[in-house]
Order: sequence, then structure tokens, then C-alpha cells
Amino acid sequence: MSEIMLGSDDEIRISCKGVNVAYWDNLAIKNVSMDIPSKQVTAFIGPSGCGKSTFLRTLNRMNDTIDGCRVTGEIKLDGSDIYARGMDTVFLRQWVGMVFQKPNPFPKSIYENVAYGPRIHGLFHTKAELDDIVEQALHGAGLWDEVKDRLRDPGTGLSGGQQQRLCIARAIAVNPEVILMDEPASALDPIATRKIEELIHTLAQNYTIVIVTHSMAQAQRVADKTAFFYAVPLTEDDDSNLIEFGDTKQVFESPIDERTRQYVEGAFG
Amino acid sequence: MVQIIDPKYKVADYQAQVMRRRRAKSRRFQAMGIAALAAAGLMLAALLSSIFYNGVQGLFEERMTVEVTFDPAKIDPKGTGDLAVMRKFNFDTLVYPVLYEALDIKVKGRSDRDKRRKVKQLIGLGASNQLRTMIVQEVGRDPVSDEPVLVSGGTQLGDTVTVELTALSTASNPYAQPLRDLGILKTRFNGDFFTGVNSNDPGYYGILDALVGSFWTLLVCFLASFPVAVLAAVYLEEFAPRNAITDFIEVNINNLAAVPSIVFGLMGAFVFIYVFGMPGGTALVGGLVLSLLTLPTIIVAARAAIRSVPGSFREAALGLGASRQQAMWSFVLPYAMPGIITGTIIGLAGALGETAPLLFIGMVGFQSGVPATPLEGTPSLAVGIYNAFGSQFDELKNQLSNSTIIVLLFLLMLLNGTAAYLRYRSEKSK
Ligand SMILES: Nc1ncnc2c1ncn2[C@@H]1O[C@H](COP(=O)(O)OP(=O)(O)OP(=O)(O)O)[C@@H](O)[C@H]1O
Ligand SMILES: [Mg+2]
Repeated sequence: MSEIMLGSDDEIRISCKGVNVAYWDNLAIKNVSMDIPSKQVTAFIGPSGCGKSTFLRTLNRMNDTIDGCRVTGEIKLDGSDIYARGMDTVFLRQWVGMVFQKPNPFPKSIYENVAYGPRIHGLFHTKAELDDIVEQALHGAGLWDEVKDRLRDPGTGLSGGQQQRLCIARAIAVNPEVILMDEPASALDPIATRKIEELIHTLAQNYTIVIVTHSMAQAQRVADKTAFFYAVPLTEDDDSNLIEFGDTKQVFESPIDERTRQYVEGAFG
Repeated sequence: MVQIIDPKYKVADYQAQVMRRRRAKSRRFQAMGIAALAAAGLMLAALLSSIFYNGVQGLFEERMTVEVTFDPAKIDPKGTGDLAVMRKFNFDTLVYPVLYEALDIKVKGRSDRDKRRKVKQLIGLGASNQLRTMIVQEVGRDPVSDEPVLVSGGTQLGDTVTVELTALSTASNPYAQPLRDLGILKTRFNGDFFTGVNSNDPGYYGILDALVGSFWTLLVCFLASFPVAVLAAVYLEEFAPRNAITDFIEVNINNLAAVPSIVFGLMGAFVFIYVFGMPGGTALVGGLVLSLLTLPTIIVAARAAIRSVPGSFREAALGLGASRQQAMWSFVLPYAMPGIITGTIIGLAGALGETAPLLFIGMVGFQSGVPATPLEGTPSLAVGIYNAFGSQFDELKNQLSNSTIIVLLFLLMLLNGTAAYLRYRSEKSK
């Protein structure tokens, strides 16, 4: 695979060209070029250690804090280079939010968990406005009805699935354009997982979502586009470890690359 | 079924042999552990029982209640009415006859001389002073003649007054018990010990100045070391680049913890007193010197506490667009605080027991009362142990020294107990 194209009707939100990521001397991501479409769900799949999380984290520069991590190439968000010299990561992360694999609410109240982002970015003027943001975010994450009577209780007292939705509420409270999710349901039971998946579906109407998942079924259920990664080192004729990228239906039903076919059929992974 | 491990390795007696050896080994190890604990326990018990045996006695005092007649024929035989004459009298001689009479000892003659000597040993230097001040007191000196200016103490010659005197060496004195039976000698809680200050007279010795001095010293020590240590720990853990310089600093923080405390005393005497001209022997200088000792303890504890904060909080905050400082102040530090406070308390407990560096900077044997500020000369509690003991062995001084140790140990247990409680509570809430 050399050129990966999106359908012409897709509006592009993030455009990556020749991205390499290395930890010290080990190349984790090699020469990845892809366009992530706006207001759709893009899934990253691939065997463990192939660099899905690494690549996801380059999209909001969460790798900046990791010792020895170097990123080269070009990543543009709505046309502006996020690795450009003057780019402020604070600003970037308000634009590109993140939800982690393990639910990680702050050891504070439910309300404060959601209010933290708006607070540090100064998104409101009055307490009433902040209340409004918190309520909207919790509604958006499908959690409002479950917690509206106990906003002052600690966020860590919720169930795993509720905690993860609280983290989603926390992420959308700063009004981002893009939400990155690294295996957001892998620590949850099937029912909680279903709720998260439905939520992702709904959120995609307003947000650009990139999700890493190990579940083929989940990718097929939630994703519009799917990208298959394969670990470095690669065979000689591969110039990138993004093996295949396209409509989810195409990647799963008529994969072009043999490794993609084996992976989606569950032959390895 | 596929054979993976050869069945011969499952022979029953081979297994039994291994098990037997393993059990014997663990029994031996357990026995060694118990023996080590027992040895440590014995040493601790010996130490504590000696301290408590002597120290508890120092917390009580023996008081003698006697009726003393200020006989003019003895105090002022020529009837001059001159206070200077009365002042020269040995007032303790008024007490002896009362005791002789009570104990059926002859006032004169060879036969009871030894008995009289023993009775005299019960009366301390303080008793004579105490009685004298009832008759005559010195209020200053005449600026011209330099003669002492004397006034009456309120009691007139010829009066008979019931007084309470401190009794000494009661443990070894054969007349202590008879006097107790007569109701003359009584054991009482030694209130002076907690309300009095450093004094050469063991009958009046107290630790209030040392207690307050230790409080000021620890306060200065805390204020000087805590903010610096926390900032250093935060910087080293969260912001410092990993390079040769930070590695060098890290090694030297650990070295600092290993430097004998007396070295800090010498350094403090030079830097704070000689170079900066701070007042010697004060809690200010003492606290600053001790802060050098607590600094590495707090830094090491704070770094461990910061490191133990789950990375997920930091990550979540950064993911929301918080800066590293914001993540630090709003999540990492609050979460690490119980651990940091525990380390701080342990550091301060160590500082409370430090003696050598304080002697170096002159926090010794002050007799100027309770320090109202950290800028006054003061002993500390640990120095007080040394002060109470004095320069030569004396039964009562030894007791007081041990009593001071009890107070110090009590405070140390209080501090360490608080630290243990905080650790327990923060572990439970995580
Ligand atoms: N902080 C790090 N320091 C050094 N190497 C790292 C670090 N994080 C990841 N790597 C390496 O980079 C490669 C890609 O890791 P990454 O976590 O991106 O894989 P992944 O596809 O997300 O795997 P998984 O599916 O198991 O989560 C791996 O070889 C991993 O060992
Ligand atoms: Mg991963």
C-alpha cells in the first residue's frame, strides 16, 4: 500500500504526512500518512505493540512528556501544524481531548471532575454558566440522570462504566473538536461497553473521534473508517507500518493486504 | 496426552526430602528472626526500665511539712534588729531540732551523732534559702556603697510558721520511712518540673524553658526546611531534566543525610553566628542548623510520595490542557501530601532529639527563664537532659535527667504516632 485515499466527500480534520515516532533508538511508528475525516469515527486496530497508542498520542502531543520520545513528520489539524514551533499544547489539548484506557477520574467530586477543564481554560464567567457546562457535558456523556442527585459525591465512587463516561464528560466539557480514545471500553463489562459504544456513535455527530480498539466487533460496530497498523520492524517492501486504511466495511470484508485479512479474521493478534 | 516433564521427577520420596529441607530451612530462619527480635526487645527493655525507674522518681518530689519557730535567740542573739545580721544565719539549723524531736534523737552528745548526720542529709540547700527569704530579702544593691539593699520578708522573729520543704536523697535515707509514718514527709507530684526553669538547685529544677525552646527551635526548623524541601522534591521529580547535574545533586542530597550532625553544628556556628551575626544560643540559629538535618529527610520522603501518585491523574490533567505546574498543584501535591507530612514529622522528631549541634552553637545551660521569642537564648529539651544531669553525679539530678528523657520520649512517640496514623489513614483512603 503506498497511497491511502479517503472518499472525496469526506471533510478532512487531521492530516498526517510521513510521521515517524521513536522511543530513544526504537522506531515505533514509521512513515505514517493518513487523513482523519471530520465528524466520523476512525478506529485504529492492529496487534499489540504495533504503535496504535503511540500514534494516537502524537495527535494531541501527549508524547511530549515521555522521556526519549521523538516525533518527526507533519500533522496538521484543520490545516495548522500541531508540531509547529509556536503551537501551545494547552491550546491544542483544548481542541483535541483524550479519554484513557483505564477510567481515571480525579479524586474529587463528580462536579469538580467535569468543571476542572472549563476552570483551567476560563470558559465561563459565572457560577451559573459553569453549572450549565457541567450539566451539558454530563448529558452529552449520558450520565446526567444517573448522577444529577449526587454531583458532590466523589467521582471515584462510581462504577467503572460510569467513571469512564464521567471521563468522557470531562473531555467534552472543554468543547473539543476531536476526541481521542485509547481502548476506552477494555476495562468494562459488556453492558457498560455497549453504553460507551452507543455514546461514541452519538458523539460522532458533533465530534471527530479516533478510537483504538482490540475488539474487531467493536470496530465494526462504531467505526466509519478503520486503520490497520503492523509493528516495526517490517518486511522490506513495506515503507510504513500503517498497512491498510479505508472504510470499515471494506477493511473487514475485502482487505487488500494479506496481514489485514488474517488479523481481522482472528488468525493472529 | 503429551508428556512434558519426565515422571521420574515426581518420585514421592524425592519430593518429601525437598519438603523436609525446605521446612527445616524456614524454621531455622524463623528462629533466627525471633532471637534477633528478643535481643532487640531485651536491650530496649533494659534501657526503658532504667530510664523509667529513675525518671518517674524525678516526676515526684518529697516534701517535708514542719513547724518552724524563728527563734530570735538563735537568729539575732544580740537583738540588733539588723537584717544583714539575720541574713548570715544558717536557717536550716531551725529545722533539725524539730526533726530530732519527732524521731527521738538526742539533740546533743556523741551517741546520736551519726543519726543526726543522716537526718541533716534530708534537708537541701534550697530549704535554707526558702526560710531565709521569709525573714529577709535582697531587692538590689546600693549604687554608692554597693551594699545589698535588704527588706523584711514578712515573717517576724519569734513567729512559728508551718513550712513545706523539699527533702533530698529520701530513697537511701533510713529516716525517710519513719518521717513518712509520722506524716511529716510526703510524696507529691513535682509541679516545679513542668513550670520551673533550668536551675542549679535540683529541688527547683524545671523544663519549661527547654520545652518552649524546643518548640521555637522546631518551628524555625519546620519553616526553614519544609517549603524548601517540598519545592526541591517537586522540581527534581517533575521538572528537572535528567542530566549529570541533577544526578550529582541527587547523590549529594543522600550524602547530606549521612553527615554526622555535629558537623552541621560547627558549620552553623560559623555561618549563622560568625558570618551572619545571628544571636548565638537562640532557637533561631538552632532551628536553622537542624533544618539542614531535616532537609534531606523531607526531600527523600517527598520525592517518594510524589512518585507514588498514580500517573493517571497527571495524564488526565495534561490531556485536558493543564500545564505541568497546574497538574502538580491541583492533583499531584495534594495526593502526595500525607506522605510528605509523614516524612516531615519523622524529620522533626529526629531534630527534636539532636543535641550535639545545639551544644556547638551555644544552646547550653541558660538560666534566663522561658524564651518569649526564637531570638532569646534557650536550651532545648535534649540539651536539658544534659543540663539536668549537671557536671557531677547526684541522685536527684540523675532522676531529673531521666524525667526529662521521659518527656522527650513521650513527645517523640506522639510525633511518630501522628506520622504512623497519617500513613495508615492515607493508605486506607487510596
Ligand atoms: N514510554 C515508552 N518508552 C519506550 N518505549 C515505548 C513506550 N511506550 C511504548 N513503547 C514501545 O513502542 C511500541 C509501540 O507501543 P504502543 O503502546 O504504541 O503499542 P500499542 O499498539 O498501543 O499496543 P497495545 O495494543 O498493547 O496497547 C512498543 O514496542 C512499545 O514497547
Ligand atoms: Mg495501546
